[in-house]
Amino acid sequence: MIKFDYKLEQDFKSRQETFKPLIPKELPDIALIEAPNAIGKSALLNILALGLFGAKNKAIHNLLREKIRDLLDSDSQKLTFNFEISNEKNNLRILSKKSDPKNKSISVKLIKDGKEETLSSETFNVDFKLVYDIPIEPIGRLKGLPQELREQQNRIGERAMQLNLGLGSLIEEIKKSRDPNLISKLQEEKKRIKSNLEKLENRFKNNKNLLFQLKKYTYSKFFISYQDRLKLIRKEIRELDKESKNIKSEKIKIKKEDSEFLEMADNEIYEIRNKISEVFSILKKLLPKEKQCLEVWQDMDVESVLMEAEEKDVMSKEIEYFENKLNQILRSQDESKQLEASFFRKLINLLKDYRELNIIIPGVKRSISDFIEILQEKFAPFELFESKLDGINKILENLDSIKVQRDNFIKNIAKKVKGIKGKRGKTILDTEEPIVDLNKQKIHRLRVDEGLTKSKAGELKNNLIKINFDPEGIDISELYYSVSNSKEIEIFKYLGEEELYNKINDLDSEQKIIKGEINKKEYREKIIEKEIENMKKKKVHKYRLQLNYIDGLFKKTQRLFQKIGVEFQKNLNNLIEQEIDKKSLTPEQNEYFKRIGVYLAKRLKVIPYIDQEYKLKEINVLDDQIITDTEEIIPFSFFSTGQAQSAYLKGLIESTEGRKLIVFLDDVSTMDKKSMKPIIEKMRNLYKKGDLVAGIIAQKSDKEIRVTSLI
Amino acid sequence: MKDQLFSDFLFSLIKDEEDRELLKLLLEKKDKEEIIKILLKDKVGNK
Repeated sequence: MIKFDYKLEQDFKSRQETFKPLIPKELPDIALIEAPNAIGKSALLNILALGLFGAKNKAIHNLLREKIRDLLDSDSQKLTFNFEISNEKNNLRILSKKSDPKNKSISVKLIKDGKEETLSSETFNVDFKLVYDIPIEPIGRLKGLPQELREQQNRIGERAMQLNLGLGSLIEEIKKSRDPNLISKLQEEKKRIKSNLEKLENRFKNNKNLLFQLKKYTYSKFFISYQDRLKLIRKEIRELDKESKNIKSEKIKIKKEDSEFLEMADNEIYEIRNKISEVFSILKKLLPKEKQCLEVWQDMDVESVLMEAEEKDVMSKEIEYFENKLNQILRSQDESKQLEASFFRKLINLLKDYRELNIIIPGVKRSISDFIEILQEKFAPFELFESKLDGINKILENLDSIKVQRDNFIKNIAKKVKGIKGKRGKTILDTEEPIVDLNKQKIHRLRVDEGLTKSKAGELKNNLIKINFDPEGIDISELYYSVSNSKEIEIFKYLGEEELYNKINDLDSEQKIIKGEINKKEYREKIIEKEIENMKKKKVHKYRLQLNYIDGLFKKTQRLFQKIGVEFQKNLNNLIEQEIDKKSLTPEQNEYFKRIGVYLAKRLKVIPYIDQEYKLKEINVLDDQIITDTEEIIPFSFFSTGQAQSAYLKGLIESTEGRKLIVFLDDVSTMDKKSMKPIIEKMRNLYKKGDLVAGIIAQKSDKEIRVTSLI
Repeated sequence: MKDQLFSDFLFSLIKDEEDRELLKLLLEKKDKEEIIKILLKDKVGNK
């Protein structure tokens, strides 16, 4: 039973009119209303659809939806209504009311089995399906059958998405809850950090001590060395000064280019002498048993040896001897030990370049800095060994360099120097070359050297003061002696001055990095403690152990949504909007449209055509054809208006999706009795099964208003 | 409660067995909470 009443006031500017129902206010469950135009058939159906959320129902044709919306939105009309749809079979009543003409709100209630519930558009559509239609372009709309499918498919896609979101929230909830695994992992991490911290702190402490010893050793060693050198330079200057005063014969007249050549030769001698002295200090450590040879090396008069220019002199013999000895040591070293040491050193150096990277090394499952620590421990026993090898190689390089310089000197320099100096005392009258005092030239160079050496010694003095050893108050030789015998310094004793300064710088930088590491680890330790504390306050989620399973479900629902809600919907949208290029369809898309054709055929089952009914096998939505079970192909365009409309409406009410149907069909005059028959029969069957709650079919008639029950 | 023809249509397109299980629930149940409960019903006891 459908009971209704309404009042519609329309403002036509020049006049105002009020409409009230002319059709009987009580209608049977399935009613056929036949009446002339302008009696209010469409107005009644629009009002009933409005009261059942039709204004928002996208399944209703746009034209009708606009009319329904007009009832609410237009300023020129005021509407109040009140209706009730009751259905005994389902023991339900739907009450819809709009009592304020100025207010758009509509109250919809469902009373089912005595329980009352207020309905919203969403809750109404969960349990009911409103079909409201009017024959408009029936042939075109036959193609529109998939629209209905789009709604259904969209609902499942939406459900998949909602389920996916629900699972996502559940995963979040679980992740935020107490995680015993995470707690134990954090505790393990804390333990690991603590142990690493201890190691780092020890390393920092040891390095600090080592750095102090190294500074003492380096500064004192070279302070003494520069002081000694200063003494030697000064002594030489004094001797040259004395010589200059006693002998005047050193003054010679030579060409400017010869004078420059002598200066260059002098510099060469000076450089070779320095290298010899530098090599001596390390050779002493490397070959302590070779006292005799070392003494010869140390006492060698470099200038005389070079100037004598003999092919085999004491210098070349000594170099050859030391080279042989050092190569013997190198050959006697364990090759695999050398390789192992080189492997660790290179690996450590490589990793140091990446220590800031926050990654865990696979296999060892340690951070880079933790791994460096482990490697450094492993490398420690090789350090002295490596340092000695490095020292030997460095000395071999220096010996080679001395040899090259010596060979060059005796081949290209010595003879010419002798030639120039041979002119000593002779007066060359035909030239205007300046008088060159060779002694003064030498003294000048020594003065420059004195300045440099003094400045170096000064720097070292300052460095010593910085570490609290002022040479003014402390015996630096004693300091050097005590520190050079310490075990820590063992690994550095084969290193030259430059290498030692590099070591100091390296250690300084390493200390800064270690300090940074310590700070980072202490900070992380605090964060972990806080995390553990917070985690312990939380409760364990009842699905905690199922997290992986839920995660799997999350991915599956995502995949399903992607398939149904996105991929399938896109196919349907393209079909409905007629934007399909049949040639570029993928096999999956072809399969999809084929399935739609089979589905629609199953829904419609039969279709009237000319004077008989055909059983359907497939509706080819891509080619707009109907394929019958006898493989006959009938294009959509062959159908008459009434037949096409009949097929379309049947398609609409065929699918209930478990919802109760309410069907309003307006102005079915374009359809003859034969086309209407399957629709009315379908509605009747649905009503009997309890699937149709109410239905109204409105038809134009030139006679009086007539209401017929179709039950 | 479900529309059998529509269900058949979707099942004909979804081949993966696990996806079909989920689809069955999506077609039968409207409420995500209810579906989640069903999916996890046998799982809680396995703690």
